[in-house]
Amino acid sequence: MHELEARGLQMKFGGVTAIAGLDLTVEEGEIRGLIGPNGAGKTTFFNACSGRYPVTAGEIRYRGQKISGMKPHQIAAEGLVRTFQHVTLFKQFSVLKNVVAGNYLHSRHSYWGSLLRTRKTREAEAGSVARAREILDFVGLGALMDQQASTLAHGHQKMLGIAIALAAEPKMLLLDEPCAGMNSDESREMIHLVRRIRETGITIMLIEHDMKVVMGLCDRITVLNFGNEIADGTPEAVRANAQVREAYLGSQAHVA
Amino acid sequence: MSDFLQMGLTGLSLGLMYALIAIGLTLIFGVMRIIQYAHGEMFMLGAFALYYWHAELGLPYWAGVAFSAGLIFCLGAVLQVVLFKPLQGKNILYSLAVSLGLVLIISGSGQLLFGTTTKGIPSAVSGGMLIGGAYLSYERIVISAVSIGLIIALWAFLRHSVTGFAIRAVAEDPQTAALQGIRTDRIHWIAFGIGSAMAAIAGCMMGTLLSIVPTMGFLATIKAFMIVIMGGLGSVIGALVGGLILGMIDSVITTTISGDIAIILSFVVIFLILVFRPSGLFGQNWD
Amino acid sequence: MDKSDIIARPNRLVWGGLLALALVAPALVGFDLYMIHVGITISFNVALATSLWMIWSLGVISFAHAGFMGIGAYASALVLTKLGLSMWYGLWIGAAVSALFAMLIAVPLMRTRAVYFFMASWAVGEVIKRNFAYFKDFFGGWDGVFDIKPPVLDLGFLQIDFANRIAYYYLALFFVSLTVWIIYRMNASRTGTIWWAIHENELLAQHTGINVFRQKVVCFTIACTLVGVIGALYAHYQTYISPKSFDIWKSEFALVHLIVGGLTTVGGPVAGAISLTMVDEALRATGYFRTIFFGVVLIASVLLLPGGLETVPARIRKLFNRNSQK
Repeated sequence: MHELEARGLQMKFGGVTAIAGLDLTVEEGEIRGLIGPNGAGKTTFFNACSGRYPVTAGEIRYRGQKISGMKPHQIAAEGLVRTFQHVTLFKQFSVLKNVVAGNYLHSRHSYWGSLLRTRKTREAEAGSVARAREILDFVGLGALMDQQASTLAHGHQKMLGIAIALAAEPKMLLLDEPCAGMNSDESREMIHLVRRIRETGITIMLIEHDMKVVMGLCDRITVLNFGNEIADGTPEAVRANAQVREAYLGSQAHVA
Repeated sequence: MSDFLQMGLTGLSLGLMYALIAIGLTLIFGVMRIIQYAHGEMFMLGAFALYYWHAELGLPYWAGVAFSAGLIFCLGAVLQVVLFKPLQGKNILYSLAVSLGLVLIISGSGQLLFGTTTKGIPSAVSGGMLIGGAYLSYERIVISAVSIGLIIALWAFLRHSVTGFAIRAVAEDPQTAALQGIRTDRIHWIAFGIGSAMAAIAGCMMGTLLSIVPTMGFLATIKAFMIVIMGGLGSVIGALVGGLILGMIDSVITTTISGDIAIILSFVVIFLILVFRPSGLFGQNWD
Repeated sequence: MDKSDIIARPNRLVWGGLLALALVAPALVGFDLYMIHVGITISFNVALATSLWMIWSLGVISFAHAGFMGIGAYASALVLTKLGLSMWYGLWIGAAVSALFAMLIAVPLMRTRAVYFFMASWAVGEVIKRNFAYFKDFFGGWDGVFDIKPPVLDLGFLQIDFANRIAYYYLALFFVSLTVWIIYRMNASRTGTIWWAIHENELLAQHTGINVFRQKVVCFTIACTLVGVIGALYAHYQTYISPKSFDIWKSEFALVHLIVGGLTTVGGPVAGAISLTMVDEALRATGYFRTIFFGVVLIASVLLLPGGLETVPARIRKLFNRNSQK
């Protein structure tokens, strides 16, 4: 059984084909890179996996279960959680409350409990807060717990985005350009964080433009162009692939 | 047959006037992203400006329409600068609250100053003709022609003038427009003024055809909102089409079934449009 | 935990003081019947504004809110006039009917977003009102329903006739305090966090596993249930209701109370509803100028006090700090 599996996946918007018949598998425990020029369909693939947009044809399976057609909150409940390319937070919340909100799936919630503040609810709430503190310490935002999320530096905001996703206790994470807009120090910190997340047993798939990050971090890399897979393999194999070179020379960057 | 023709003609002229009001409202929303709830009050004030000019002072009719449009243009521009500009970029609820306050102030003062009795504006043209058994007054023809002319003029202005282009650019994307050197502050009050003036002219027309009373603004606001929702917020074409549809509904269902049903039905239709085509027939998705 | 903002710290002193003041208020005004009427009106407005604020915690404002108050009012009134059941039944029936309609309407309504939600809810409110007007035989048309008697509470040893205005004041105060308490509790809990998370970022909320659609429907339904109860109380207090009692203006005034009071805490709508109802009553003497003045007060408070009355304590504190630094 594959961790994540797409078969004949097609995504069309109006007349535009963003993904044209993609087959792809990710195995448990790996860090998989998803690269390709702009408009290759990387983020669209994440949108399909997370249920944000319905798939046009084909199917996606997560741990053997068909998830295409499910709603985003159902997919998150299955253990497949994503982050966003642009900073996506509950901006007016404190850092801690952001992560507590992310822990929704794993904190017992009932309306009567909320109203009457029952012992169970209070315990669940305390558990949720404790878990959120753990996660914040893990990603290195423990000291900024009480700050309002909108006041954080960009790099910290991206970290917080990942902390929110971790609070949903995923078994697999889809990271959409975790290092976008970061300076090299922040980038290094993020790479370190992604490795540590994998060590906790979470499978990771990430989109990244910075080739140094991708080549250094990923076990395997899948290359998309115009909605099709053009290469798949270890970083070395992908680097040597002529088709990949061509795709990238035709667009913006050299494969390092 | 002639009944249907009559209803069609009435619906058309009514629809064109509705469209005038609604286009003004949609222009204001498109450019500023505010809900101008006092739009109908501009319509009311426009009608009363013409009334005092033409019926009380006896000055020429068409000059009165121009005076009314000019006056309400200035009023709209001043209101924008004084009241709405400070709220730019804040939640839409704040501008909604301010325009609600304006409704209270303007309609309250209207009742105080103009009295609560119904008044009429003497028409500039008289007579009429029969088309296929349906009576059509020259007044209605002139008024419809003026409405069409104004809508075409506005369209040409938005398409072909520099200011019109700037208005469209701001409506499309305020940030980019500002980066390209468009003075969005200026565009805001111009658009607010034009939108209000359109409502004022519609008020003049409607006041001539029917009658005027200081509380007439609220119904105009409701109709304008219904149209704008149908057509899509910010869409001028949508406002025109929506206006014509609502004019026809009003004319046909009111005469054949009942006014109450016409209103309930139009609200149900609006609700369904919003649910199944959340941004109206011609609108874009504002988030 | 208590240092964090997960459970917003209740300002018990202020709330307790307010409740105590409300309890002794009739004595303070010398049991003046007009003043007690103002007190009851304030109570209704507080409940209306607070429950509207609960919907606002999702990030939208419903202009159908007064309509749902109307559903509760009509249900309770008709239960009395047609079936002869007193308000003690009507109250719950009103709440249930309001809840049922709220749930049915929320399913399509919650598909719309942002400004389109305002518009769609406005259409819902108008349809509700106009249905009351249209079905004359059942709802009494524009004339409305008359003779909605207030209830009598018979405890055996004690009989309270709520036709007495002072008694009704305490009845209204009880239900309004209950409403505010429920909303306060919900908001300060996990449930509130979820709703505000949807308010803040719906997309992210969805992708962290929150069933956004379901939460929206539930929140809307609870708010409409609460306002349905208030509608029933309103009907039996006025003893007369008509479609005009529940038109768009009522929802709009509730919105105004929210905006003038403040949008971020439950104290906002409470402060807004209390102060603006008092202003409105104080302006009654000015006759025609009443609406004009009210409009001026509204615009002035939006422009001069951004954030609303709830920011006043912080402003005063800031002022003191500045002075003490000098």
